[in-house]
Amino acid sequence: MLLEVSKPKGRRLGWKENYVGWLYCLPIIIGILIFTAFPIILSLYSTVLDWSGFQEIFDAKVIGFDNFKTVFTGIYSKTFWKALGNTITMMVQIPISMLLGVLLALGMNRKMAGAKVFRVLYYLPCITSVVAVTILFNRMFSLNGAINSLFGKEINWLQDDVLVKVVVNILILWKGLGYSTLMYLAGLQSVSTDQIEAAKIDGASGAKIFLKITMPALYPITFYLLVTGIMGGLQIFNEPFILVKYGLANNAMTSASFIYYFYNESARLGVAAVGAWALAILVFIVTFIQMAIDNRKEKY
Amino acid sequence: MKRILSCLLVLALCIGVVPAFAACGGKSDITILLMCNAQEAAFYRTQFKATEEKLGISIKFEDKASGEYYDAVRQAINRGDTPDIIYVRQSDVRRYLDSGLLADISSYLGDYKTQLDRVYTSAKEMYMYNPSTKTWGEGGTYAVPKDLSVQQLGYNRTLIHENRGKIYEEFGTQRNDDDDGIPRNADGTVKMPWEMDWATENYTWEQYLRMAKAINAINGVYGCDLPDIEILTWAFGGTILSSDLQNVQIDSPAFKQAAAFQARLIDEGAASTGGATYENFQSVKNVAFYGLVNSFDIKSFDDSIGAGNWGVMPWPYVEGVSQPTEWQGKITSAGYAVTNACKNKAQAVSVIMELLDDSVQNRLVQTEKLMLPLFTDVAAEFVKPEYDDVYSPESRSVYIDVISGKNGRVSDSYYTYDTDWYNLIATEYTEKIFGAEKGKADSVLLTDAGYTALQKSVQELYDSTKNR
Repeated sequence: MLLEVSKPKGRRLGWKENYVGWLYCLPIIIGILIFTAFPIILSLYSTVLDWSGFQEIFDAKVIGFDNFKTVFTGIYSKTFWKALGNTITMMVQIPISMLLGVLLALGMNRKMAGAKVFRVLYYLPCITSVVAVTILFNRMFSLNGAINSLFGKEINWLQDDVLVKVVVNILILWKGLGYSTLMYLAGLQSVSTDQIEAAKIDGASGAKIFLKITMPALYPITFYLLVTGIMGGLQIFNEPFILVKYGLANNAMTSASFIYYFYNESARLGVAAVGAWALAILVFIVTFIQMAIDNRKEKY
Repeated sequence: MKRILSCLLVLALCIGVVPAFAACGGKSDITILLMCNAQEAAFYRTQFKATEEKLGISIKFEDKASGEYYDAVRQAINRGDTPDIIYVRQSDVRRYLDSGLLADISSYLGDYKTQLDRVYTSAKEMYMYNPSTKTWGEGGTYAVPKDLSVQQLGYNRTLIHENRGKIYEEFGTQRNDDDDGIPRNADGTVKMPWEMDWATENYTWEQYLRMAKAINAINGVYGCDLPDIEILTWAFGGTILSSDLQNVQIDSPAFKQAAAFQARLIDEGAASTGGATYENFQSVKNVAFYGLVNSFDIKSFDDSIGAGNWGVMPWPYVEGVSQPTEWQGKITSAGYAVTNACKNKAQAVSVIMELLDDSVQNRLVQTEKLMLPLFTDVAAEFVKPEYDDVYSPESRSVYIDVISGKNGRVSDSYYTYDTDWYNLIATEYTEKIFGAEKGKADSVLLTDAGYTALQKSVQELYDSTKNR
């Protein structure tokens, strides 16, 4: 069997020779076509439709690029750009999470009593349900919540335009810090001890060793956390939505909840599809730029 | 042989996908998809079982919570499995008609005239629409009313009673120049909501503000929450849409006065800007006056606050604009519609009409306390003191005054193609007032230029669907 499908030197396999291989791949190809390619094509098609979803897609009226106009420059543009702005402000926690992750990982990397307990404690929020954590934050930061009671204040955390984003950032930071810490910890444990020892013999200070040896060694982790953090950050939905839905005056509406609003509440599926494509392209561009920068960088 | 076996394996995997797309189970005569809560769903299950036996048909019933309902309808339509009977609100009718979803059931209702004649005309007209003239109350009938509901002003009797001394202090215990003419008892004390004769008396919005302010901030109590902007606009003598449903009127004096009054409620310390929630009212924690007591909440409020410890009252009025009894509450409604996909519309209508049977309606209103009376004759009984010893008769009268149309009207947004334009008013303006801190709400109020700009953008959004 193996001999039959192996490629003879200098010649492409003909259909008769590799059809068994194709047949093996067929189920997954069919799956991809039905569950990935077809929905992508449909969502692209729905961007040019005036479609509420209450009729079949092919009964909906084709309206050209009107949905694009309304989203980017027309009546929904203010909401779209506001949602994008909110999304970006909710990503402030990404560099903070990475910085704190490195510091905590450095601390945990030392030989000390109870290090494993700390690792578990810091990682616990990551495995806790986002719904449970967000509801908890909602109660903590509500007008009559624990935070206000603690400080004897009546701060409107969840309704204020700025403060609601601060709360979302704190929530995501708290929930994700254990993950970045664990990643950095894994990275630290793979840093070459020989190089560190050699640097110490050469008289390098602790700070210099960290900057010149440890940090470059952690670059792949940093890059990975940055890429996945930004990709996830641009698509953020659960935390702000469960916390305050769209927020007062849409002050917590994100790009993903913009899509949800136009899909579920406004029933303008064409507008929602434009939002989804805009977000997908944005994620692609940002990731592409990051990858391009990474490719130009001299690797450790 | 190996090759044949491989091919068979691949084929088996491919074929394995097919059953996933096949419909499971046998076909039912009538399929129903309704938006309802758990209590209503249990009721419907029992009811449809009885209907199956009575009509000798099979019914497939599916219930969805409010957040999932519209998506469930869309999914059903797009997998070619449109339900025969669906739940609609008046605000859905135009969009559903535009999508070709709803069937005109006028011709199937003739046999049920006697029963339908007992239903409030206003409720029936909510589902009658003429798409060519864009006129409501005429043309085709696209649903049978399921209920009439009211979002009314509720008061927490326990909380107000405990703190009534503050209200007496605010207004004095005898009539004086500063009492605003507030209704008083024979001993000179200000009448509390449960002491009022709503048939002739009411508070003004100014008096309401002072009462709420007097109670507010005592041991964490909130006087009131922020009233609905449309109800306030009505009280100030305006409407959000013009009567011909052509123009948004948020730059009108009535709307501006309503928004300014909302800001005053916050700035003068009568309303909470965030603490006055449904849960707080329900748990008797904080809120003395609460403006969103839905009639379908009656049972849950009775269970949590205690029957007799709360009630509903008329919305206050604005002196000089209207009389004490001329307040306006907001009517909402839902209906049962038959879709165009239904093969046997007459049968679907007969299933719907079973829900309007006297015994079913009595269960819904009296036993289950899920809704207010839909029949005018039942409503006449409902307001009598002896009808039920759980609801206060005053509260029942307030509800009926609204749904009968005497003191009620439908939100302007219910007549329109969708409510996006209405939501824009909230997100761009009224929610900002709601979110303002005490003493700063006034600064959120728009200038004349701001009103003009907001009016323009809301009108533009409204115009985009107005003539559909």
